Amino acid sequence: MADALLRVEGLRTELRTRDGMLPAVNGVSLHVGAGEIVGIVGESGCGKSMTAMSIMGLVPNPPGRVTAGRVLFDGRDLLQITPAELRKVRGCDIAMIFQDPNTFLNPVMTVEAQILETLKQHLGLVGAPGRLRVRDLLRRVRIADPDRVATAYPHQLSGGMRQRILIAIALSCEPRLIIADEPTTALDVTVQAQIMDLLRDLVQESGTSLLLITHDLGLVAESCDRVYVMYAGRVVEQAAAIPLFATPRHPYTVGLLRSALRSDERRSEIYALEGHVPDLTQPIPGCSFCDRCSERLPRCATEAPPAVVLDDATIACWRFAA
Amino acid sequence: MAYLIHASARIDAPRDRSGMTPFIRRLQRNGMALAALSVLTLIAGLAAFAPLVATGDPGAMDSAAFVSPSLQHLMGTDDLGRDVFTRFIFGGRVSLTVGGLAAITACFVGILVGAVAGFAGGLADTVLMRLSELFQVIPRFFLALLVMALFGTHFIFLVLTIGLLSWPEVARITRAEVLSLREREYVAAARAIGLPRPVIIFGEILPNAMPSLIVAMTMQVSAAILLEASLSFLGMGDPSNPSWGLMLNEAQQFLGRGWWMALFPGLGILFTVAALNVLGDRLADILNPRLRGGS
Repeated sequence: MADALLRVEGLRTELRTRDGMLPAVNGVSLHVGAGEIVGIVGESGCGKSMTAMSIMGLVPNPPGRVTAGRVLFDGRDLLQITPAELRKVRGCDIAMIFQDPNTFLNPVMTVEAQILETLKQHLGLVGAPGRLRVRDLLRRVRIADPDRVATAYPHQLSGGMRQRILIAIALSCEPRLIIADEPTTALDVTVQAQIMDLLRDLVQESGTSLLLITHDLGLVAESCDRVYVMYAGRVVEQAAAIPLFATPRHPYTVGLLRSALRSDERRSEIYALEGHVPDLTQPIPGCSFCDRCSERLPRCATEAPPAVVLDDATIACWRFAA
Repeated sequence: MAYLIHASARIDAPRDRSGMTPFIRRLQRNGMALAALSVLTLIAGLAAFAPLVATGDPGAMDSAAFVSPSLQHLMGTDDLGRDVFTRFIFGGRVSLTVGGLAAITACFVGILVGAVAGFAGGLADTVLMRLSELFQVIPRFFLALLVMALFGTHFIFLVLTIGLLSWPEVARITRAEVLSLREREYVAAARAIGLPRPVIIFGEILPNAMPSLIVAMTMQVSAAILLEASLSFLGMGDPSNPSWGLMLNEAQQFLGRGWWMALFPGLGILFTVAALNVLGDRLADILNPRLRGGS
């Protein structure tokens, strides 16, 4: 896809730990097309969030550092541009929605003041036009009484409302890409559905692309066009959402889907993947999943599997490399 | 999809939104703080409207010396026949002004240095903190003496000297607050929005540090008033602008003949400093959002 809005190539982000350098993101390549909803799934610590932070140039340094790769947004490498240019991209072209709306809003500022900050920074909107725009945005995230909410402080709002505010902030400059890092994890199940519906609607209304980072497979199945499955800092499988759930190929994806709970079936035992994520501070010559893999081949432990294109999917597994 | 979310039920009583009203309510529940605030308001009011309260000239020697307190001279007269009440009122004005201005200087420098050190970290932090330690280890009176000897005892030098001596404390408190606040997630969110660093420091982080900083500022004012009194008492005050400390200095040789010369400025210092300290102490509780009941 040459027309991808965001194209990440060979991204590597290392964290300095007491036990040595830890490649939290290890050669990740992905792309998001215009208007596309793309998911990244994987268990905790697989590098999903770190990938998002690296794209935004927000990896805390120290301990983290992007050591290799390219992040092409609209043809420009975000890793190469100046901090001032990057600040223009952030919030304006690429906006981010965070996991926990309770801690990502500044407790001493009113909702209005927080949205106005972005408007002022990127669009130079202040005063009455700015306040009008704030109410506009609040209405767009389906808040019925924008006047009251605008002058409220975060602690006076519910979690779902706060997440709507974060979404309103993200939308404030009409971004071309929204990165949502676990946007519903901190919310009640009923509110989760509302927020996801809202996000999907807004993305469709405005033609914005959405990169959805989550461990919730149900969310991905419902919302995404395409999915990347990450494990131990690497992308192990990439496929369109429906085929991925119908016929998962990579053994890790198979295990992940089996371990997901479904409300329409009762099981006496919950399936859990055996073993643990490997110690990433030690170099892994082969496939990072081979210790836990039930279908491993001899070469899995010694040689890293290449990414193989199969139909529309990409799988990094020796089983499919033949 | 046209469903709308109604927030009305989720928002607390609307009067809480002004921010000021619950503050006053919490203050009212706190008797000591309210008393301290009243004392301070009274003293500040007397100082502010000094020419209306005491109609005479504080320097006028138009009475007999050592007249004990009476209706005509509420606080008696001093060794030169000046009205102590008039001098007390105008002296309070000087003490409060010097104390206030010195505290403002200290807070301005301290907050700036502390915020930059805390946010930037690394080399900038090390350099700025060592600098603040340098100022803390210099004996206060020695430095004050030096400045006064070099530049004279003018009011402005008094303010600058005290400010210069006091900023490291504010800087350390600010730095500690910023160090913990900069790791908050809303700061990460502010970066993701693309806000420049000064806006993040002064717009996002510092407002959250305000409760501790307001307390520190209150304490700075009382410390500055005390330091000014000590310096003046040692003869380093500005003789053309007599403060309470300078009045004490003048009174010390006449303790036997005119105790009132020392008593009233002494009480003035005592009440002001005590009220400021009590208020600072209670403000820490009042402003702490974790201790706020129900609002």
